[in-house]
Amino acid sequence: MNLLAFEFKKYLFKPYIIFLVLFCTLINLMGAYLSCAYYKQIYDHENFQKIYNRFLRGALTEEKINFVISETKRLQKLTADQTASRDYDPKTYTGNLYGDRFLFSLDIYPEVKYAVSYAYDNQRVVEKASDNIEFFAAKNNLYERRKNEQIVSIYRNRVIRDFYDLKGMKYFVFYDFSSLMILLLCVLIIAPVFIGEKETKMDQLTPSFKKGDVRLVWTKIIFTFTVVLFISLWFSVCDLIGFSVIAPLDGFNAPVFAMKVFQFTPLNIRLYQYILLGFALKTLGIGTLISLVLLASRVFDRITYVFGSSAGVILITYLAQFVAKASFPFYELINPALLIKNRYLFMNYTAQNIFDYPVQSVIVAVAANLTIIASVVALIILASRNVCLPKRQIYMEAKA
Amino acid sequence: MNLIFFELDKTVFKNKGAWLLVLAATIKLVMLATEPHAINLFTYENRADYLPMINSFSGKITQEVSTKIEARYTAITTAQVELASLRQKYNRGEIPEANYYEESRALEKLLRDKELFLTLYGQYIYAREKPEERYLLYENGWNALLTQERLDWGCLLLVILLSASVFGREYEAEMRSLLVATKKGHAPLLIAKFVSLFITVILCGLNSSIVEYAFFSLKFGLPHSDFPLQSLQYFKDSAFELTLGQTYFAISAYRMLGLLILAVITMFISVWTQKSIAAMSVGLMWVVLPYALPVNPSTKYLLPSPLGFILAQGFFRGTQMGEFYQSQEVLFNAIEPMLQIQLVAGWLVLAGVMLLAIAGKFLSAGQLFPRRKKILGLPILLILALLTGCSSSSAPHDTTEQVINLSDGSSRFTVVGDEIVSLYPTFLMENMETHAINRVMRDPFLDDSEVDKMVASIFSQEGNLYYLAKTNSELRIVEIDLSTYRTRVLYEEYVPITPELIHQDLEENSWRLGKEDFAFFLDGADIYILSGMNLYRVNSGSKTKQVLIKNIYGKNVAFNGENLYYIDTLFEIQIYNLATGEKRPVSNLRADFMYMREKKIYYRNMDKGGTVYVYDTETDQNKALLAVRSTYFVCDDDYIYYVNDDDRGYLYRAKLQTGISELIVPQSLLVYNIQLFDDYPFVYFRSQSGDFSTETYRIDKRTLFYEKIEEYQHP
Repeated sequence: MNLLAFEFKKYLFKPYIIFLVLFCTLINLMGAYLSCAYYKQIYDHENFQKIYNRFLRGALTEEKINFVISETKRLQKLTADQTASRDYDPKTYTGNLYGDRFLFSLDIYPEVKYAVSYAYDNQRVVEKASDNIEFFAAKNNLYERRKNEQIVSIYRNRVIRDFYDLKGMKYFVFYDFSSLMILLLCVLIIAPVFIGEKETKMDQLTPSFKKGDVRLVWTKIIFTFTVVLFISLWFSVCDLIGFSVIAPLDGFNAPVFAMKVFQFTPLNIRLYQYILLGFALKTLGIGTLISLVLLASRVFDRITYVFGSSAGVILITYLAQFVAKASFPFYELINPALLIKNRYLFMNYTAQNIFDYPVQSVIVAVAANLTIIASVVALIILASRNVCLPKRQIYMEAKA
Repeated sequence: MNLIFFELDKTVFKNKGAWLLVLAATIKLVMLATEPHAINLFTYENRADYLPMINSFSGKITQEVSTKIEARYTAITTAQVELASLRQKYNRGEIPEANYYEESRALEKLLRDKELFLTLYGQYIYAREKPEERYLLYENGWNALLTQERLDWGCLLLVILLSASVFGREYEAEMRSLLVATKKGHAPLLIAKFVSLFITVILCGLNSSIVEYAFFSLKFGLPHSDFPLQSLQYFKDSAFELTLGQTYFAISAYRMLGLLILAVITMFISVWTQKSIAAMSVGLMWVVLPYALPVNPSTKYLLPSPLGFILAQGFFRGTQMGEFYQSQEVLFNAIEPMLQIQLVAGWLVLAGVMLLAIAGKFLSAGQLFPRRKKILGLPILLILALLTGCSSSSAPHDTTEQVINLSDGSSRFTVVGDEIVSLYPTFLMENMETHAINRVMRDPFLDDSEVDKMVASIFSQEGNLYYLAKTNSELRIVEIDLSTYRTRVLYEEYVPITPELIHQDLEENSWRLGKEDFAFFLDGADIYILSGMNLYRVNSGSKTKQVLIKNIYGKNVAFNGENLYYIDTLFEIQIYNLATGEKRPVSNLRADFMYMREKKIYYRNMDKGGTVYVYDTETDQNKALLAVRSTYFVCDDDYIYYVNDDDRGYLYRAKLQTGISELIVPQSLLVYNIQLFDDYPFVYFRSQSGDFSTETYRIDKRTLFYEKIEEYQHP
């Protein structure tokens, strides 16, 4: 434990690191604010919130549905011939009838409609998948048959019972700016972990210490992933607090598919569980990238090369574009950026054909990234073995 | 002077700076080659025809130039009507044949480049508004070079790496205290360090600018660098009276200034933290974070970061307001020249202060450490492997007489084994024996309407069905083995988009009008895609795509394994030989519809009032087949099935040997497709109903009984 504490002291608890973490936190909050401000231009949040809080929040009752339908029709009728007054009217929701009409027709009505009709739309998916089971069985296509069986079991009996304002949650889910800062800070902290020892020639001294063998290497590895976890947690919590205040966030208890962008998600969990899952996957993705930085630190002799290669790899991976498709090719699944921007994995049902079994893409992506981390760790240990010989071996060789 | 060289050696050569410069140039080239360019794709793809046209009018819009352009515009816009009128007169016998051919060919020549000329005319209208400051020129190269904000990541990283090591290495190797104790270890040393770094940064900047300029010059051309900047619409409101060349020079100068300021900031951090890694990280953050922030694009130039100078392009833009519903929104605020001068002065002062601070900090007394030997291990640098695809050689061309026609609607209706596959009214297949109808796309998450918008074209070959799916972001050609329903993606193409670090598109499924107009067919490893008026050839192995033929009229393309036959936009039937790339007209034929079977081309002869003729490609014989007008027809071994425009659009068939016609569908249906089958006693045809949906009919060839297949409406 002492070793780990020393690593923290050496590489993390530095004044400029702490300053940068705090500074980046402020920038992150500013980014969250600007991000929300940008998205809020698209929707009339203030008036939507008024109507939502007064009439719509909570269980979707027939009364609420009828209210939305009747108000939408009433406003469409009143404004159909464009002769209604455009002057300020305090009796309206937004200030005039046309604003009310846009609010209901383009915002409230589609949202409520989505929630109400979700069960029916989903049922069509299940029915089609059920038909497909027979169809593919007749074609002896084992993979497609199993895939459709999986779809039926995942998607059946889904229903949205409550109505929430999930716009803030959508902005939160789509926010990636903090990931960039986490990556840059982790590069700053982790890059000198091995290279620092080499540059000060301590790597020749440490094997002679009591715990200076492979245990030290493991300590550094554990330190690396602990830092990744800590920094990721810090910024994720900041994002959550920031968006809760700025957005704000609502509907933590709603199912993930309550958000239209996740209409066909294979996840049957609540949004607060999805946030936790998203955090875990993001941390794993960042961990994969930072493990490569650690490897560079172990392999190269100069900090310049470590930084150059790390920054280059991170920029290339981070700038990778993903679109929500029906499937992901394998080279995208091993890209850690897909775990960092993990929402793309959950927007649609996607599966990989593993020996005629449909394995969901997220599982393959996680397995691929864990494999990369394990391989990198193994490489680091192997590379360190020549230097970090067990003390007994050193003693035996010296005696010989 | 020695010190400078010594510092250069340390900073650049010992850090493999030369290799890193090459690497940065390579990264720059790769990014330039893969990013989307702000060019007019139409004029670029047709540059062989467009360049002579624009070059003949390039320059200032004088009265003479204006008169010429207007005259040509008038001639071109009336040519179509005049040509149609000329044909009618000829068909009525009012003008002799010789006169007709002479005048029609002259009009066709005018029409050949109509679309290109209209593009030029649009540019002319823009330039005419302010002829003193807007000139006509081929602008693709300059638009690509100047109108896109571009961050050279390779150069940026290189500058940060080198700047951080100038002082950072001295601290980490504990050489600082030794150096300051030497004879020249004060001002001369510092000046040498600064000068060597600045030389390096300038070299990096020059490297980046030269690569960029050379790339666009070679790829698109950069003619007339002495024309005013406002000749480009992007800079129409620019306050600067500069030429295009001067603007690029100024942008390069700004970029170098930005890189120098960044270098000073990085050095400053390295001296204060005494850590290279801290300097590198902070230096990178100082540019990347403002770049990623979701602020108005013009604000980025005013943030406390050298990012504005590194981007540079926005300094020369004018104010840009939103369009249509965004009319009150300012998309970009011009940065006034005076403000720019203030920014430059402010940053120069700040940089000067930082340099003094660096000097003060570096030269101050510090604790002495034993001199350490420098680690000189030289790692192997990253080697970028340029991915090159292997071209799979095309399979030997099938020289059988099987002809692929796109005009007959086979891109929408085809046969695969026992299945008749249709794209309309929706994507489904009918078993020829049992008449059972099934959807082709089995994805339970896609509605029929989404499938219909997405699947643009189909093709069948060797028992497999191929379909082309097009969305806003990608184009895919998928192979389905209908017996096992195993699928394979044959070809994929993504629309290149500039990656966003923030402000993702919140909705992934964007709204589209409907099915896009594509047709395609396969020949060995080659995929031929007809998109708009162009035919592209893609090698499915190497994914290389080339434009094969331009200006094709409709879907009038036929392929016999060796040659491509098509009708161009002047209604001339052309033949393109795949092996030689040679293109020539087919015996002066004029048609707006054609169908090819074996060695014969059946076509609607525009010079003969739209009646159906047949041309034998072997014997060069051209003869009339039907005395009636028809806009659509297909043939099998015995009959030609056609829509009779002279008889209310009824469906007829005529024996090929004798030309004797018989009526088979005495109903005015808007027939747009007739599908014939080998060894199947039925003929299918499709018509468009009143609500624009497709109705499918089946005719029994033996009895000529026909019926509508209701199951297609409700699969």
